[in-house]
Amino acid sequence: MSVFAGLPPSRWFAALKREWLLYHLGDPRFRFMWDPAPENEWVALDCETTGLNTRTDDIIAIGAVRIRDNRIMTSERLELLVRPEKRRLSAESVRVHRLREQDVAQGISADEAMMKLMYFIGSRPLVGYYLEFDLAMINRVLFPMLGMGLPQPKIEVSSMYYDYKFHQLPHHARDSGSIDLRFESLMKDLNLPLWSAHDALNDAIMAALAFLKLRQLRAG
Amino acid sequence: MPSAFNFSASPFDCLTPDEQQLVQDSVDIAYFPQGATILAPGAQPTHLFVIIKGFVQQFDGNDVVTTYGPEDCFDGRGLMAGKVSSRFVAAEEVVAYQLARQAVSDLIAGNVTFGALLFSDLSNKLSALSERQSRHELQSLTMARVDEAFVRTPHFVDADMSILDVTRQFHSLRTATLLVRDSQVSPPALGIFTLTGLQRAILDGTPLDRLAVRGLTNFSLIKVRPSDQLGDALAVMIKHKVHRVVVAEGEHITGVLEALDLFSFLSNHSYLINVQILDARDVPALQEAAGQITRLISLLQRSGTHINMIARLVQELNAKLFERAWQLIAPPDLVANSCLFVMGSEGRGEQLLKTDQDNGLVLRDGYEPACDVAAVCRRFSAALADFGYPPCPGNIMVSNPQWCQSVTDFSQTARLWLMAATTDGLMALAIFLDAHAVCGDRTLLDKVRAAVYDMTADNDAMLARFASAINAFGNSSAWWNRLLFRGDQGKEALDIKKAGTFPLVHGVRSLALAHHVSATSTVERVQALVAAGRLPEKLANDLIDSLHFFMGLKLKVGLQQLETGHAASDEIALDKLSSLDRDLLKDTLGVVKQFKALLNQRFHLEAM
Repeated sequence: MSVFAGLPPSRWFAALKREWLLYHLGDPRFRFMWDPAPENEWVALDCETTGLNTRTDDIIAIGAVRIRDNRIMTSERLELLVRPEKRRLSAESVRVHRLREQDVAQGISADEAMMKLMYFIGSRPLVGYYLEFDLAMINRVLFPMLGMGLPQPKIEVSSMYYDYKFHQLPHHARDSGSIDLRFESLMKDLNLPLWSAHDALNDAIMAALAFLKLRQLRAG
Repeated sequence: MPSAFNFSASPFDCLTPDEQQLVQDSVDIAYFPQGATILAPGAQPTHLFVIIKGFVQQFDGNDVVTTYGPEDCFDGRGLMAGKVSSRFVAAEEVVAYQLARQAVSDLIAGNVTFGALLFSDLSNKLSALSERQSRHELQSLTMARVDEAFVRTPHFVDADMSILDVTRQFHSLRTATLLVRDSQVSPPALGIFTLTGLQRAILDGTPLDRLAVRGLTNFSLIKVRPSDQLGDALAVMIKHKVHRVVVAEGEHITGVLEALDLFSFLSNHSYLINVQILDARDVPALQEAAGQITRLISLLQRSGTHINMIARLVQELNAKLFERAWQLIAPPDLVANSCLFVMGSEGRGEQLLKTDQDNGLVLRDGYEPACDVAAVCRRFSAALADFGYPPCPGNIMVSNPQWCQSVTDFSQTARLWLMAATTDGLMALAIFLDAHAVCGDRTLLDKVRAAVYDMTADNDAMLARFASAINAFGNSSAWWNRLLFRGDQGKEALDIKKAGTFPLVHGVRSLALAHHVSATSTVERVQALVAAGRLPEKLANDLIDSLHFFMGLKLKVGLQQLETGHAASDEIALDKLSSLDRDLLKDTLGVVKQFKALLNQRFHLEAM
């Protein structure tokens, strides 16, 4: 308990949680994910999958990009093509992401992809649009390796956007006013460029841009 | 993102797949909120920026010198110089690619065309900046000689010299190119050794102090002569895929011309359009040049070139374009026995973006054409329409027989315009007064013009009726509205032509007619009227400034309309103007009001 002496309760709890997670960490090689994050750095992330069921579908592509200050470091990007374990590609999903059976057959195994992804992220907080879905897909593969999901802090772009829009609404409209959280509407409303969607890296970059702008709006 | 990096935009459209990969691997995306300083003077630049969204303004001190928009690159000049010399500020929120400095250098070194394009894009901006200061003659870049560019002094070494010593030479002479003499062969050979060769020497594996430069020298020299044109030198570099050539007169070597130096020279002389027009062998080739003109105008406008300079350049280019088109379409004897002229804003040299065709043809008295003149004229009007000049709704074009007559018949027609003084007649007269010859025998046009001036002498009633058009707006039944109601009519927007340009231009035109000033441009007319003591100098200067302001504003709005896919119109949405522009607009409209008061008095228009 001496480690936690003198800490305020909230910090104390966070420190305890960290210790508890580290204790349960199956593989000590990944301790670096609990290191202090580099100042003003984040990783934006997006996955393409065989479908939308987080329990039965597989990841087939991961795009991730580091954000440093006001820059999206596309020169240091991560683009992975993943071989699905069991699931065949549905025609519907091929139509969305345009990755065919023979394309993903060139990919690496899901385990290998997770290793690369973890090293790429390091201890940086994660940024994404509807991150919950991507993380559910990733954590399913990660759990057997790590005994847990990705531990880094998570920043959800759509909820940043929701907060921003909500505060712009007049008080009387806050109860009834619905906010359009669709990705395209969000990018359009923020006046940001839209690149072709459903390419994991492009989606990650657009989420990163929305994150940078929303951070700016919140600060301003 | 990199997979969406726009490789179809210049200068990136000339890259090989490998080079495109290099760009993708070196490019980051930056976000700047409005007002952020992107580059500050004195900073060491690390990236070339390519704007994805938003606008960036370049400041020298407190002056905006240039604005960059989507797909524009900056600051290539600072990047190559190693130092930023201006302040670059996000005028609007900016999203931009930033391409690492090393990647840009590698691209320029490996791809001469890329360098040329990067610098020629820059060149339009730089040359425009220098124009504003010195207004020197626009010079076609291909006409400049090689020895007018920055030719480097040649340094010679012997072919026996070791690579190690050669490298010492590179270092001490601060050069990357050496010329190698081999006197052991007969006749003695001369070659070139560059930094690229040094890489090969190191890879060779032999200790560098024991490796003679001979084996790694390229003995097939590519030469240009000092008197060659720079455009040809660039073509030679592109053809041979090299980025330096030897400058030699016969056997005498005078220097080395490096691609980078060539580009920096070209940055001040980039008007290839003129050459393109003169070289055109058929009408489709001209059409290409016509498209370039609009692009040039847009570049010049963004680089802050004075509007008067742009207008003069455009008038010259358009005149050349019409002349060449007429020469290609009309048989030589028709060209020799007629005078083709343009009218309206085109004639005054105040047209920037392409508007309606306003042109005519005067034939020599007694000339009996062997060809079907009407058919030739129709072909000409159709060609101009292909170039992007829409047919004139009032049908004031050579293809209309009324605007294609002999000197005597034309003078007779002009007499009818004056005597009958009908709506159409006075409108035709106003347009004709701005006629400017572009091809053929210009004395034919002068004769008709002289006849018109003779007829108007001291005809005060007619002059007053002519000048009264300046008061046309506010009174919608006035006959002059027909001339101006060509575009859309918006209630909220200001029609800058009706409120500003037209009363100013027509007022000056009326004074010019009354005082027999034969100049056709508004500025020249104003200057002539001042010289004749007919216009106070202070008002004259204000009129010229106001005219240029109206033209600039119209161009700015027009280019925006074109970019968003609308036809250019005269309507200015007042709420979209900057506060500076709104202020200036208030002042200039005040000048117009003052001028109208003077004209009302001069022509006794209150009585009308």
